[in-house]
Amino acid sequence: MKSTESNIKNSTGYRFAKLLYQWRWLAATVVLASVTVTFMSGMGNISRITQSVLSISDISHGSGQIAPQVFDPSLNVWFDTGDATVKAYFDIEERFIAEDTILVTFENTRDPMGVFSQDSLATIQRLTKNFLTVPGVRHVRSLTYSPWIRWGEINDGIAAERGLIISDLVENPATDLSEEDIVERMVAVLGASQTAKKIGEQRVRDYLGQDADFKQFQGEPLLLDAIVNREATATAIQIQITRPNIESEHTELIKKLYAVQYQRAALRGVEHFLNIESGLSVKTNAFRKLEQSVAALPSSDKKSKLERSLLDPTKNFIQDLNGLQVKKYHVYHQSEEGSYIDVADANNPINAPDNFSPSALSSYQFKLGGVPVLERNFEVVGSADSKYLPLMFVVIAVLLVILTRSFAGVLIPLVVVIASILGTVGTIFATGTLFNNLTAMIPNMMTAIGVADSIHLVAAWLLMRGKFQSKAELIMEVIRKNAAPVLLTTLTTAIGFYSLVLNDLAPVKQLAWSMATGTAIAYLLTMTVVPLLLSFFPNKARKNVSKTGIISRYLATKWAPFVIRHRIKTVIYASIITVISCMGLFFVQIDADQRKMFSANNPVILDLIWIEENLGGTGDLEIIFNSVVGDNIQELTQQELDILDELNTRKTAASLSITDISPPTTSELSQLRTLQQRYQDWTQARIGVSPEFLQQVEAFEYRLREEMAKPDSALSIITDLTSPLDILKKMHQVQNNENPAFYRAVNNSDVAVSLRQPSLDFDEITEEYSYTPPQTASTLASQYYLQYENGARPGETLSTQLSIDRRHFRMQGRGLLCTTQEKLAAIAKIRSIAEHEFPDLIVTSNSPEAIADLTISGKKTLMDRTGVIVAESFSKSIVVALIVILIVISLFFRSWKLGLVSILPNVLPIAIPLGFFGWLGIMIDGPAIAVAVVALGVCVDDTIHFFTKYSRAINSGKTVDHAIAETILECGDALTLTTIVLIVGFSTMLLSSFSPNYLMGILAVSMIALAWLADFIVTPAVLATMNMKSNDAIQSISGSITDDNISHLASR
Amino acid sequence: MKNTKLLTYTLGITAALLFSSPIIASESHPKFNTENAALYGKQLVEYSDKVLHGWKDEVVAGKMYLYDQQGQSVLRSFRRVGLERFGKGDKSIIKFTSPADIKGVSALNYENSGSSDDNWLYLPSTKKVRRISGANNTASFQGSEFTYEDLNDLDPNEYEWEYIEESQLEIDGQMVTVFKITGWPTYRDTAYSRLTLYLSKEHWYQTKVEYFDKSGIHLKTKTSSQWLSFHNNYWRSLNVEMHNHQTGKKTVLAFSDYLVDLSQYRSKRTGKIRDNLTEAFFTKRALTK
Repeated sequence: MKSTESNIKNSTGYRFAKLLYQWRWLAATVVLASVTVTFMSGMGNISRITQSVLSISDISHGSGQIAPQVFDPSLNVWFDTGDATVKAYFDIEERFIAEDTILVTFENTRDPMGVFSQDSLATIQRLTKNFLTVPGVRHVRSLTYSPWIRWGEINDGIAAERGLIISDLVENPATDLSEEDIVERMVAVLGASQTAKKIGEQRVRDYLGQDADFKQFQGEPLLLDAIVNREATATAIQIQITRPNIESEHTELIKKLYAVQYQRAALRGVEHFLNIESGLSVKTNAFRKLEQSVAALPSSDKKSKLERSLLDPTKNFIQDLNGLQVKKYHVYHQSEEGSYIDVADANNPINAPDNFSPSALSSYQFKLGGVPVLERNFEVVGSADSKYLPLMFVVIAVLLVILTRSFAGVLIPLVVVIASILGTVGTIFATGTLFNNLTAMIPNMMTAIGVADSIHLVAAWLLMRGKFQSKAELIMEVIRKNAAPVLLTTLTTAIGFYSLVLNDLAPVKQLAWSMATGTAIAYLLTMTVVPLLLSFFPNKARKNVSKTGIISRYLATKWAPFVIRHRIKTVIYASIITVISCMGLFFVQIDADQRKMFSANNPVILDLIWIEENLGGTGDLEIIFNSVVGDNIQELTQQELDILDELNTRKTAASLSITDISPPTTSELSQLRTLQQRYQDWTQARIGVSPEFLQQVEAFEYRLREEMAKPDSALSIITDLTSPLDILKKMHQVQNNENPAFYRAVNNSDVAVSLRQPSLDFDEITEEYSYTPPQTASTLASQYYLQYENGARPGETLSTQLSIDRRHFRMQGRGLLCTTQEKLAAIAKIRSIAEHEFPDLIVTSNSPEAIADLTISGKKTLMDRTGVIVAESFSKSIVVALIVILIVISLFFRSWKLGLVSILPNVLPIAIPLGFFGWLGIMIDGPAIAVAVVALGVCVDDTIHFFTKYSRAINSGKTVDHAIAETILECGDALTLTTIVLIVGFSTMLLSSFSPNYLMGILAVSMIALAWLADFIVTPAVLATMNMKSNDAIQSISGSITDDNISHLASR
Repeated sequence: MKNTKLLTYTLGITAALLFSSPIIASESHPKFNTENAALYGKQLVEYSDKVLHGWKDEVVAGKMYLYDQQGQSVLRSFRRVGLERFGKGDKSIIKFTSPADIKGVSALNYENSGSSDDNWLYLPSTKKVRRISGANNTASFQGSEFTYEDLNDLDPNEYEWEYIEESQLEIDGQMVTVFKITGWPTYRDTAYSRLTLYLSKEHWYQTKVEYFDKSGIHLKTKTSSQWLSFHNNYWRSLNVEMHNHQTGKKTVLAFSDYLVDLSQYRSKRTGKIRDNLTEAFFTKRALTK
């Protein structure tokens, strides 16, 4: 015994433990101070970032404060930059316009004219006007405020005359509309037949004439099924919100954060007006007073600024003339019991006066939709879930009280966990990065790691308390025994996370290094702060020793022999289950469905579903056609264009025998030919005005619509398609007497033969001849576009759909809420239709000579796809991590056998739940898979602690069965404790109403539970199978475990 | 072409040099009421409107560069012929000269003081002149950042004015003194809640205009530079930029070959003094040629 003791005292472990104990104050202070400094500097960064966002412009609700910006909203970081779909999407944002749409909808089933009733139109008109005053709103399209292109009588100005009119659908106050005016608009939008269905044929005939052909009045495709449904019972107001154009110098991150806040502010503004409309926002007395005192001020810049902030719908708080904060409106919400609560200050809801009942301007129930609304819902529900983290701490604390019955056992793990989280989060923020969807899970992940690290020390301390002469001896022994395995588990966990760095995705990389750092921080805290804290507690033996180790004792005496007896069966069953689960992995659906992510009564989702049923999809789909011809053709310079024009003039003059212009020389003629050729090549690249392209796209769109109408087609999730072609077709129809036969893409027959020749006119003003080039379908298209742009409001500009060089053509679809895989299937279907039926529209190996190349994307689709991408990359990384960890284990224990043994217990806990989901066809949200890495970490930790004790026992000459029993006896408590704490801790996530978090909870709980089972059933069975002869006796074990044994073990 | 351009420049610059302190503009203005900011503002704008009139007719070649957010641009060239009808509303014809696919598209516009404009458009591909009625004032001019509202002469009676201050502004590399005046449009068909004018104190033209949208946010800024004086009185800017701060887009109008008051020039063909244009020129027929 003596010699063992001196051996121990000379060992590296002992010297390390002694050093650590002696310097515990310094070590703990240094580590804690570093954690504090890191955390403070991280929080300093956050406050700087938040202030920078606010410095661009005040997008707060009036207080001048916004919530600390800890979340990085960037979308592009989730993708490999080489990805074509992603590139296409960011091209769209750059080339066209970056904006999102909010939909405000309502229903009118009570009036015979539906949403065309005077009352509805007046409401729409009032809201439209109000929404246009919301900062950030670029344009509003509604039943009263959308371009109405028609041929008709123009009365303004000097003389009445018929002509082309582009006006708002309802220009004058809706209350001034006569019944005939309304019928006229109904026919214009719904078409004659639908209007007849709604209000009776006679009323339509009264307006159109008794023998009118209803087929000549087809309605407005741009509005139908989008702004109004065919039954005219539901209508939408589309509010287009721009991404802000930030002119001051800021980092991309700040700009993105600002953009999100800017959009939120606009959404607040929209909701403000809806609340006023519903009578739920009521001016406060203080605000009325302030309005009066501002009105009384003499005119000045300051006054106009004040007036502007009085009206600013995005701010509900304002500073009065003395600089005091004034609440502008009471914002009442009806609670479930029916009473009204003022929620203007979200942190301080106030009951409405008893006699309050809203005096609404109109009686409609408004429903909101659109990507910004959905995005905010994610944030609201997501932040509601953040309350589960404190709950997790409470639950863990309670459990630790029950399980350890000691103050140290509760305090120490919690200190380590909280400090680890602060240190890790601080590190992330201190480097200037913010949380993303993955790193937001770090607090939960670090909880697992912190608990796992510290509990081994605490459990050992609890077990050996009172068995040593001095506190110092006890603590040094605790350190000595655990330093190596905790270091190893730290290493393997860090490796596990660090293997994610192999990934291309920046957020995953961020998770990798943050968690690797976090693991190291947890280790440092465990090895320095735990010894210090332990030294505050007395070295007293427990009154009732048998209370501790009760789990271990049971496991070692009853469980282990049973398992070892049935080792072969156990290994076989475990292998079969693992293999079956692994097969199930092939059926795992990485998918997401937003309808199912929230609880069934989430109001945002209910509204969205209603909107989609009545007015079509709210998701975006982008089909972009890019000219491919132009890339290798050099555009003519302005000078060359001038020369071309001049030479054409002179050539035409010569052919018309105009003598005062010199005809081009031979060399000039050849120059003309070259320039002309180049010009024609360039014109071909301008697909937006190319008749060939336009006709192809028209047929393509028709084909897509055909698919969209089939209920079983992948395209049935798309409800609407729009493109610049709609405008072109409309212009063509209107120019041709509104004949529906001309509602089509232009072709060369539309240009009179006489115009297909160049012409020359003498211009009195310049006193020069002016050359007009031959007119074609292409020039006709260009001129129609110009004519449209000349009359449309800037908000309806073509440039959001057709690039100004006419080389990029944008078709926009609207899609229903559906799963990611359904979206991807729709995209694949569109591609396949293009490839097989419209080879001119897509460049493939079969159609290298295509006119254009199409790309398909959409913000919502991209956002959804991030889940799939993350899951794919995680799966790869986990396999790599597993292999690396097995190698590390083999090296550490200098045994390939142990390395191999560790495969089964480590693969099994991850494979079973995922495989089970696969077999059952339950879809898994991508980021939930990330939890598998944590589970793997816990599995490996368990295995390493198990192996450390096991190899120590084997090396001291024990037989396999005894070694297993001893191992279980020694680490059973700690591992079981960790497992129970983590299971209960993670099960707080099961309370979440947000299904991805719920799912993550399920995966975490089941994986951690399975890891325990694997280490206490499968690992002993495998070890026994590999090392024991089948008939080796095992009955001796139960007899060999006694209380003496425990103290013997403890002191070894 | 080149010669005319040179001539115009020479004329303009000579004029500018000879009368570097314009008599009419700076010295003969009436006594303004500087006590009342609203009245003073209105008087300044009214005077600026009045002092710059009398040019009769004009012809100018314009190049319109439409820039997107990335700074890529396309060019559309046109020629504008205008007839001054002080107090009644001007008439004009704009004819596109490039790019080739819209060459020959021309628009006839009658400004009607106090009511909406009359517009006709001619498309060479249809060879038809169509009366058109658009969203009028707030419609974009040919897809540019300018709306008709921005391009039309501003009627001092259609705003409530307020004089703010005298300040300094850099135009063409020189600091000039300007009157800063805010105007709130009182007419219905406007895209703006207010605008701020910067009137040159010396020459009375608008050096800069800031436009604020209905939500009160600074939407656009128009900056006019390279000012030239014609015939000692009529100032024209050769470079007008409209910057949209909300979208980051920009439109630049570069003018050249100005002829202000045709009777001041000789015909290239006959060498005789040219006649001023009459209303008879501004007809639908003129568009097709």
